[in-house]
Amino acid sequence: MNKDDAFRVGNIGRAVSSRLDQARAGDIEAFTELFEPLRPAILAVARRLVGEPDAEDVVMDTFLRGWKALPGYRRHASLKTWLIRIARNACLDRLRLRRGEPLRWSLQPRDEQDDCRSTPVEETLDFTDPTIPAPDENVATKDSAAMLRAALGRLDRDHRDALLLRFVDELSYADIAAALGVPIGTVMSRLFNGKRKLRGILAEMDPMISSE
Amino acid sequence: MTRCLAARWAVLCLFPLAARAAELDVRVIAASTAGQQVDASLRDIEPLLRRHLNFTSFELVKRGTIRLPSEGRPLALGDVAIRCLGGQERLAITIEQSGRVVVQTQTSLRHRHPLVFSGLPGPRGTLLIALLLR
Amino acid sequence: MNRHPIPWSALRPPKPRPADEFWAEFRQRIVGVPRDPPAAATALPAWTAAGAIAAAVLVLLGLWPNATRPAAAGLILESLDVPADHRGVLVLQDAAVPGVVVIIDGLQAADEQGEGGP
Repeated sequence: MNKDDAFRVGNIGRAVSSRLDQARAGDIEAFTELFEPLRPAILAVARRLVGEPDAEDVVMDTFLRGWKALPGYRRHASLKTWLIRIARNACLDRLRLRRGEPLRWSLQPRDEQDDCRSTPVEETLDFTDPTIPAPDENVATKDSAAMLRAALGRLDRDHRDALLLRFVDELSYADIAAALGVPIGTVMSRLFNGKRKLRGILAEMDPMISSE
Repeated sequence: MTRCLAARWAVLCLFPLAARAAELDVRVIAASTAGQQVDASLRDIEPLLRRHLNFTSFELVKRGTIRLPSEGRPLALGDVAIRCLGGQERLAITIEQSGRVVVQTQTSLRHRHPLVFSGLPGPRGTLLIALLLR
Repeated sequence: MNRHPIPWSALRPPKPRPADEFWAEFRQRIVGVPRDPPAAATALPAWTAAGAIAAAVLVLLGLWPNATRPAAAGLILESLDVPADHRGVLVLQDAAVPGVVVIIDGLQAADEQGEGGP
């Protein structure tokens, strides 16, 4: 079983459920045990949405918000998806802070069913991911990893984020949807179209490379 | 004693629920734009097929059942094989055709919500694979 | 002709900061943070008991209909992959008719595919 499976709706084990109840009641040890496995995914979302060097700060902010909001968690979504939604809100707040806008939520996570569609991420993100070099990166070495980075750099933001969250950060479709604030169908479309575009770019560079 | 009887009664009450195994109905369908025929055995999924697909004729080719939870034993329906791993809440499905893996998906199935895959090549056009929880 | 897989793992980001360090800071920072009130839906023991009895009676009578199972949410595709060569995939789902249709475009018969694909 995937380690994330324990956090999925309908598959929550008795032990996890018990720890969840304890964490909701204020047990910090239980909270730590339950949420530590989710930290890499939250960091991944933060890196994609706000980039470095703010990503780790956003992770801390997310877990503080999660601690505050956990008593009201109603299990409509998996714990992981729920926390990713909080992370997205924290990211959006961080971006507003960068632009000098007042924060709408300071340690005030929105309701878990709020999917943030009212604030399209496209309007708020204007950073360059440090793992993605500029499109004109020198690929003369034919290093396939460098080639992949260069190819991703030529993709548009929507497709690149979806591909990176899926294939590098290994998030589920539902979690990517929560992170990007779009429906799952949109995630699927972006993945398939992104792979197709990436395949085309890579084929121009080296016909031996496939995107599968 | 009373507590023991109550516990036995509770087990007897809940046993049928636990023992009721779900079944996945799997249908292989030949779809085409020739004619207007729809097999009677496809009436339950016809609204979904009509809504999203441009075919006008749907003919049942093969049909089988997979008991859930499943441990991955393949169900062979002609040159199509379906493997399922897990239960209805988290089911990994692999569809193979002529020995090659065509689709791999992980789903959470619901009663009365068919899952249909379209686009598999068939001898007379397009094959559909329809999955429905029973 | 064999095609090499894409080295996605080469792009794997750095690991999070050490857990001990992270959670030590977390413990310091949650001091004084007020917590939200519990969800109200869990505080109905009387209704829960009544519901459990009603459910048990239904089961005993063999009248548990499939429609009453938790099916409020529609079918969910958590992941989808098409390893065979194809042009594109369309996932269709709307509120009008329950269910999902996945259309795989450009899928060729196995014997029509070249070794390396297009």
